[in-house]
Amino acid sequence: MTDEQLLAAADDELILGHRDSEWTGLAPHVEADVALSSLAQDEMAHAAALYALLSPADPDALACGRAPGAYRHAPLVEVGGRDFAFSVTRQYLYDIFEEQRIQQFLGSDLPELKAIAERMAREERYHRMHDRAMMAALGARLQPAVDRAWPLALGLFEGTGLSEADWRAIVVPELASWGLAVPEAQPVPGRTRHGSDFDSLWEDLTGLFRTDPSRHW
Amino acid sequence: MTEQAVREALGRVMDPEIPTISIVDLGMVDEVRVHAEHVEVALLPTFLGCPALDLIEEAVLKAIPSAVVTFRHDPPWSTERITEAGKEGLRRFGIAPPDDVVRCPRCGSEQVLAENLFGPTRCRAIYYCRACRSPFEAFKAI
Ligand SMILES: [Zn+2]
Repeated sequence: MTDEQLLAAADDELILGHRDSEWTGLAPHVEADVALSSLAQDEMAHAAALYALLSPADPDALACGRAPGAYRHAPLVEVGGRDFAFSVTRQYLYDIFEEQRIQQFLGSDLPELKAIAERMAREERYHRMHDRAMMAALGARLQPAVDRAWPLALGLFEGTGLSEADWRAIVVPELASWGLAVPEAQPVPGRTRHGSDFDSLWEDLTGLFRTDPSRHW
Repeated sequence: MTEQAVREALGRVMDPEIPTISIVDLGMVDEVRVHAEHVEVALLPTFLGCPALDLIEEAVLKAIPSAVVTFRHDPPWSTERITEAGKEGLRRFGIAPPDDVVRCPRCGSEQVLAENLFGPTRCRAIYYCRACRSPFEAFKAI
């Protein structure tokens, strides 16, 4: 487990949490609204715990004080816009990936990281139950979202040391059971360079911090 | 102050969001160490990034002015640490405790439906009781 891999995990959680939080008050129905808001809080809390591990003296500066190019999240999590089907699909594909990542943390030599991972694992169980219920309910209508999210989801694995094959072994049959096919696609990598969606997200996310970096959040 | 007295005082510090359960019955108290001039109280946050930690620290300091409060993640807190008295406190507040079988906290029925795995706070889910036809909240088993 390298610091770079931990930073990628923290950034994935922070950026996905930020995107989920953008649905608060705007999701298509109240249950989804409550769920996405809770998911956002969970993911951001996981990010905060990981940033505190990486930079105990000043986790806020690590979370919000970097230039856009220094963030290490995958392209899947930065995609913006009001595509609810995409958000649901992204959350599912990401949470199955995250389950593997938490297993990786649980195998680490750092007791503090293991303890954080144990807490994450217990919370993430609810994420996956929710994700699967949403995927099953929306079923084949999610095909365009799967087509769009799939190559981005493959890009999650870049530099993580995690197994895309293990992840496929779970998601491909599950997607099929919901009437969803997986497209032929090449992974979209990009943990070191980000798209235009991230520029505006970065402005939002770090704006308050940049006005007064000495503030405590 | 003896350790016993400290623990009794902590037993009167209630969760800021659920005033019928103390931080002791929630299983948040990991360690109490009594020194000559001060008392060390090590607490386990229930959720990562729980927003109520500042309020809890404040409440502990009010109950034990000489306390020095620290939060640690190791060992990780889990709902298995909630005591029987704590579960009773949750029920009194209308929240089903985190048992394997979720029962309606009002009528005790097992005829319940999970309506939403997410609720008003990160630790609660929303259920509906078919027996007494009431919605209720359940503490997640986490
Ligand atoms: Zn009932």
